[in-house]
Amino acid sequence: MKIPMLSLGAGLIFWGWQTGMWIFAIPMAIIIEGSRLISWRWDFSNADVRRIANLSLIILIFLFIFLVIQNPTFYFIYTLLQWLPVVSFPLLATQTYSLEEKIDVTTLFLLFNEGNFEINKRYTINISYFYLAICILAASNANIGNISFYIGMFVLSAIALWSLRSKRFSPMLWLCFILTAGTMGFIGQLGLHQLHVNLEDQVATWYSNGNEQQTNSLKKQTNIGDIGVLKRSNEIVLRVATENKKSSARILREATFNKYKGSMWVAAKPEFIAVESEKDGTTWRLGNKSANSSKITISANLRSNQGLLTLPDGTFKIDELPVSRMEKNKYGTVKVTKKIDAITYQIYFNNNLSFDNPPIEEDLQIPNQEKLAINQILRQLNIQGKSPQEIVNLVDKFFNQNFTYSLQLAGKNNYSTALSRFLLQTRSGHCEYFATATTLLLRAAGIPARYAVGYSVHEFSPLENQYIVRSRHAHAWTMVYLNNKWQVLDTTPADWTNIEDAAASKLGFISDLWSLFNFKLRYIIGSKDLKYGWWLIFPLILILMWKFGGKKDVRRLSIKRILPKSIAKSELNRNDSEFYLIEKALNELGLTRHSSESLKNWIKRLKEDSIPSDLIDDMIPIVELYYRERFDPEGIKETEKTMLNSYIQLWLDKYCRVLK
Amino acid sequence: MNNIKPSNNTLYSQEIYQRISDNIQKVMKGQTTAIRKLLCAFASGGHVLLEDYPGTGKTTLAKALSFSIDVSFKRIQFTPDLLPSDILGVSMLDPNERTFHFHEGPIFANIILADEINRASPRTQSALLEAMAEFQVSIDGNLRKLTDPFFVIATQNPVESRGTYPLPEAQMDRFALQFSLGYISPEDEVNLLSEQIQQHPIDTIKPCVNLEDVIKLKQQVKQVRISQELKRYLVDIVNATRSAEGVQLGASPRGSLALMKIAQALALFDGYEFVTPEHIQELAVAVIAHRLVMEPQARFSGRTAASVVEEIIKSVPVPT
Repeated sequence: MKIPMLSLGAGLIFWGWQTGMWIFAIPMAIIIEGSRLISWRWDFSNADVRRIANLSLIILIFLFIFLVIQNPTFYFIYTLLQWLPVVSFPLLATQTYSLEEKIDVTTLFLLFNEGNFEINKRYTINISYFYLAICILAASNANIGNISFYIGMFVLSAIALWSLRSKRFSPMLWLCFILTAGTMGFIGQLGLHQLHVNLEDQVATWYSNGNEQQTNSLKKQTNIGDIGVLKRSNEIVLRVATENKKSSARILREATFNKYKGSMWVAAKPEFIAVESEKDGTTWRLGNKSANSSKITISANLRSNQGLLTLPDGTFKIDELPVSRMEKNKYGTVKVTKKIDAITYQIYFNNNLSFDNPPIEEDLQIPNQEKLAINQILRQLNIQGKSPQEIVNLVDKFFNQNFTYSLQLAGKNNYSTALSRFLLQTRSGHCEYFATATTLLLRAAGIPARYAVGYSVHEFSPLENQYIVRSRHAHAWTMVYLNNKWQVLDTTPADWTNIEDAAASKLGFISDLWSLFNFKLRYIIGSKDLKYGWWLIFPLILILMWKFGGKKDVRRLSIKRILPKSIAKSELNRNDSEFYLIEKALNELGLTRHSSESLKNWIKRLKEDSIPSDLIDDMIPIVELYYRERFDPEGIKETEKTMLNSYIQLWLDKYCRVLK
Repeated sequence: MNNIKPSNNTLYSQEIYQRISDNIQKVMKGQTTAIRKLLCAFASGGHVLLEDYPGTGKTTLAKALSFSIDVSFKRIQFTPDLLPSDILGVSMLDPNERTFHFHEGPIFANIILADEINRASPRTQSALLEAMAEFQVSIDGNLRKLTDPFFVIATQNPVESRGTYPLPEAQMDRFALQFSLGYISPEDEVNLLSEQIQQHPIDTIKPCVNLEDVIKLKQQVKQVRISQELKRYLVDIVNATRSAEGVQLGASPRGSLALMKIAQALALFDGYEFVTPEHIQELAVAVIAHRLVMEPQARFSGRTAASVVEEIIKSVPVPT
């Protein structure tokens, strides 16, 4: 099964065109097609092919690691696929320039290594067609998105199939059919594309019901008023390592807002101010140092190189955070910018402190359309003449006794707003309802309140030995200004975490493992100690080269075969003569003897290969004597034995001299 | 390192070999290896099957050998109507003495050239083959020993197959060696022409050794030592033919035996008192290949018995 002329080159050029990797594609195409002009070929033994296959494997592994680091999402697969022709190129080049123009499949698998295969069981294949398929696959991943890929793929496939066509039918008929097939394929893929677009739209609609992945520091669109079931992803967004389990922060705040309008919370006049780092560039001070502090370490991922830090209340110092820029607004929201998305930082905090600015006018505003319901509830609560602390307790109790947590999104029905319906009719909803309602109720009672979003930290992962925070652990609560200090008031029923967990997918642990793997990998590569640890890979490469490279031997034109084990064993009981030293010495020069080659034939071959050395000539008498010792059942005398040894010693001395 | 001296007996045998070889080379130009093969089969007591084209010198070779050592030589041209009695001989009634008198057939010679052996009927072939294996013939219920040395050179034409009876596999096994002479180089052929203008060199050839020398040579071959390890190596090679791909029937223990004897003879010719691995490898193909029965698929795919044996020799590790 020989591939038609130039089709491999065309495949490579096509790949280069689609992916833009001309730099690789053109030389590779020249190397492959140049083989038709060059008449010499190598005789590769199976061991050589195995080494080359290992080379391909090493390229693949390094590419894999590199791409995972570059792009830690799953999409690195597409880039990896684009590089496949480069990865498998050594094998194709080997095949093209080998005598057999075929490759033994068994050499491609590590499992079959080291000759546990019978001598005649060689499954040789011609990998050209596979390579062409790989080129097309790789080109497909460039995803240019116009018709050129389809046409190119179709033409290449047609060329490849041309030589395999049945000769019973005329070429015209064949052409007609392949064109029909191509057209049908094109229409089919258009249909598939349509389906894909539709499906994507569906998913987008469905997904937009869930949480917005990245919190905006200026505004927060809530799900209040939507209809359906609140669905959030199971993805792990944060990892929280604590010094001891008890001292941990239960809630991490990401942003705070103070203006509510039409199911959206907005931070009015946020006024971000840059925070200056301390000298080392990784320590950031947000407030005065407190004596009674706790420390936690948070690992998170920024999107597009910037984002909000999730911090516990009362954070006064952030340590080991090498970001290029940090800003803080007056509501305590901290924004950072960094070149790499992955960040890990240490936080020193005291929950009893608050560094947010004192209340402003906006912290008491209530939207007009919510006022009716809020006032109705307020009347029920009977807050006349009570202190702010009592009012807060009353509100907390009110929600605890009369409301339930639910992921069902009820909409607004006949009421003016969804919040009104929540307060007056359904009395069940998710945290955004509770937090919004509480904030507005407190404001109506004259207590300044803000709406805060962030995450609840409650899932301890025994696998990672730290807390993990998932996307669905996102939470909202109220910040209430009591005793001249902003305090957390979470009126959402405490069982909300259980309801959330129950709604989660049971197969989440698979994505958790993947997430952990990614996290660890980034951690290892990103950690300070290993910043220059990349250099450690070079010894590793050297070791691998040594392991797979074997001896530097000169290749002779001969074919080594795998031997049946039973016979190979007999080689073990070789005589303990010192003659093997000579053989070893010559082996080091690369003049290896095949296992099936007798010593004299070996010498003869070395001479025929015109290795001009009297060392070889000197071997002849030694071999004669050695043969007598070895193969004459009568053996040789003791004196002759010492003589043989002395001859061998002489030879070795001479060898050392010549080599120097 | 001149202390590696062969014993006198070995030197003597080597000299006999050289003399015969040189003598035959006067007639057979450019066939050194063929002569070596022929002589080692002769010295080890085996028989030879030559598969070659007409006119390549098969008969001349056999004749030159027999003239060189001064023994009787007979040639039997095998034809489809040849009868066993034409080979073995026949008992004839002597009218005067009123007894049966045995008239010896051509087999009662020392060197026999069985030309185109595959043309005779199997019955006739087996008559010859019994003699080859057992060095005796049974005629009219009487056993008759054949004289020593008894050496058969059979020939086959590889091209013609019409009207032939190919030798059964079991009988191919009786031949120690199968090889072909092949065409000689153009230079040798020119020499051959110029030498035969006046007279055929075979007419001038003189015996160079006598019968005793030959018998002594044969005795000496049996004295050549072979180590256990090399015996094992030899058996490994023969054994591998039995499990090789494409081979229906591997070589028999008789093949191992023949290979050992041939190796002994080669060692003696080279002046050794013991067998070395090279001697086993040298003629392994000629000794083993004709004993193998290949599977039809392997035959059609162009895999020959000789290539199988060559592969085996290349794969079995040699003791060093």
